[in-house]
Amino acid sequence: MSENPSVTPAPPSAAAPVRIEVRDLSKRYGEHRAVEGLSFTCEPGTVTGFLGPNGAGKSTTLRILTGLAEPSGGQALIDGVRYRDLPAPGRRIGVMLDARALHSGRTGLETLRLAAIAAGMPRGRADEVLALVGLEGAGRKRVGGYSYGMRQRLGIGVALIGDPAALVLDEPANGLDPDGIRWMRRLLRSFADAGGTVLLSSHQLSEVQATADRVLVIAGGRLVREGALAEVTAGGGTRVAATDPVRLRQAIDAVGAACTPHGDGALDVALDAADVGRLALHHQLVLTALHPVEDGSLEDVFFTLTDGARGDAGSPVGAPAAPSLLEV
Amino acid sequence: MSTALARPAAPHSASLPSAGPRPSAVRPTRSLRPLLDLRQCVDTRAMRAVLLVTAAIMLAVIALSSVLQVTLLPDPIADFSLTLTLLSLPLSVLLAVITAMAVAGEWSSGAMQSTLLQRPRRGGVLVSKVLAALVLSAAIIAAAALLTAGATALTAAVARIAPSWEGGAQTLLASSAHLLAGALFGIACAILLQSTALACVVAISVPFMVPLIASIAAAVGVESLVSAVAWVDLPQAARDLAAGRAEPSALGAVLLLLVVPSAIGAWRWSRRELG
Repeated sequence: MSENPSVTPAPPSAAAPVRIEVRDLSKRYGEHRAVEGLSFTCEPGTVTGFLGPNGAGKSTTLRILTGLAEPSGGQALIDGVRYRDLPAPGRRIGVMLDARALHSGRTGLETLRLAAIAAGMPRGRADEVLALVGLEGAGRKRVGGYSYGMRQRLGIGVALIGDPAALVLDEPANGLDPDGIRWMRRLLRSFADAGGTVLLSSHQLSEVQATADRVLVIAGGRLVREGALAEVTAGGGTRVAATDPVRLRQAIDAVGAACTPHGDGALDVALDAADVGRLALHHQLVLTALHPVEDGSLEDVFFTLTDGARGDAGSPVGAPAAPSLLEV
Repeated sequence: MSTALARPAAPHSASLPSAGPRPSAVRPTRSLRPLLDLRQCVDTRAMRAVLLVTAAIMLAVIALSSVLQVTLLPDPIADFSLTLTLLSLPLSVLLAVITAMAVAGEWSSGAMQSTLLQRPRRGGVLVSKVLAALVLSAAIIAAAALLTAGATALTAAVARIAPSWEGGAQTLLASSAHLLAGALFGIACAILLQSTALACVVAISVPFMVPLIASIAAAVGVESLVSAVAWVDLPQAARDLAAGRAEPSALGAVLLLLVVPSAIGAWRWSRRELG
């Protein structure tokens, strides 16, 4: 297997670009709300990072989007239609949700050939994609003998087989070595730069920060933040410390703002600095630190947004990270 | 080499190896692709192993029957009907396994997710897999008949006796019906249970248990049980229908063991969530 595939990633199909739209999506399993009131759009030419802790509803959303599950309410649309109603889904949107969803008894090349036949692609497309994903030396080997990283590459190859205009990927970098991760980053970036639409669910925040144009953060089945990457990482909230950290935490919890302990008694709060100042004034707290969280770390923003909202499915935190006005 | 993450320019299509002309118009993806599903089920290591074992057992049974007919009987014979009847016993089990694997194999392996992402209309995929399983079954039944006929002729030629084709047509019809019933039951179990292992267990055990229960019931004289068991005795139903006897119990067995499980399974197939 080539460890550093040198073939330039394929641009998306010359066909019309694809828009992904989720409208007020909800999914319930009995009493459990896996997804609630989720709405977002992925535009052509962008990489959208879809982030959230385990159990947040990311995979459920992607399964509904790709027709593998039915929603309890709302819609998930590709170019305005449901996935199952697309006339040629493999030619419009490439999907990789689980690298284990490849038959272990088939060879890698045969897996791609079958996908190419199903998508109506020419016979040679399978060999082309096998080289693209760096598996040309392992095409005759059974998938059951592949490493996890090789299965990931093959899964991405299956997603690309129909020369789609959009990609929906769930944890595509899992199991990839650093060369593979760099290859993945270039692939997705080139794909989007050529007009493709990418929706990428990942736990690897550094990779999302390096690749994505926009991020969606979901927790407890609800959208807690969406926006351009630069905007989201700039609006990471406010870091505050006080002489009485306990009363400070009580005051923040009383207004329902998400906050994360930072260390040394300081808290990162999902409010802007002015509102934190007003809150401290109202509760007569002496602040020892008050400044915006502007270190540009998606990880800090992620934990700030999801720690407060993770167990609270009853009241959504809402889209903006730092509400501009509080009634205190 | 620079490690900076400079955004590459959009690549030209000429940088990719040419793989022939792209289809100029995108045709709708058909969910009904029985030849594709036939290829999908045959090209796995497990199915190839089962087919190899099936071929080996067929040849072994045919060879053994032919040899025994010539060597053990006081008057050597080369009887087509006898060999085919003997072959039907193991073949009915193997066909149930093969059809269960053909229909439920991708559910068990997890590969059904990939299939449904490429062909999302589930009804079409189900029908396609059933057709593929039936084509495979028909090919195996035809091969069994041809090999049996060939072995009968060869045995007669070697032993310098006349081959016996007496009752061959009726035996062929009855055996084919029996084997087809077994294959269809394997398909029905696979559609309902969506698990190769479970479908194989049920598809093999039920056709053996039911006649056994019927025999025991008849032996102890419990006629009501004998009558009831007839409604789930698929091999007997196949024999009756092949002989032109549309008994209510035969039709009932088809309904209870083929139609109802398939209908329930098709409903599950259309609604089951994946991933």
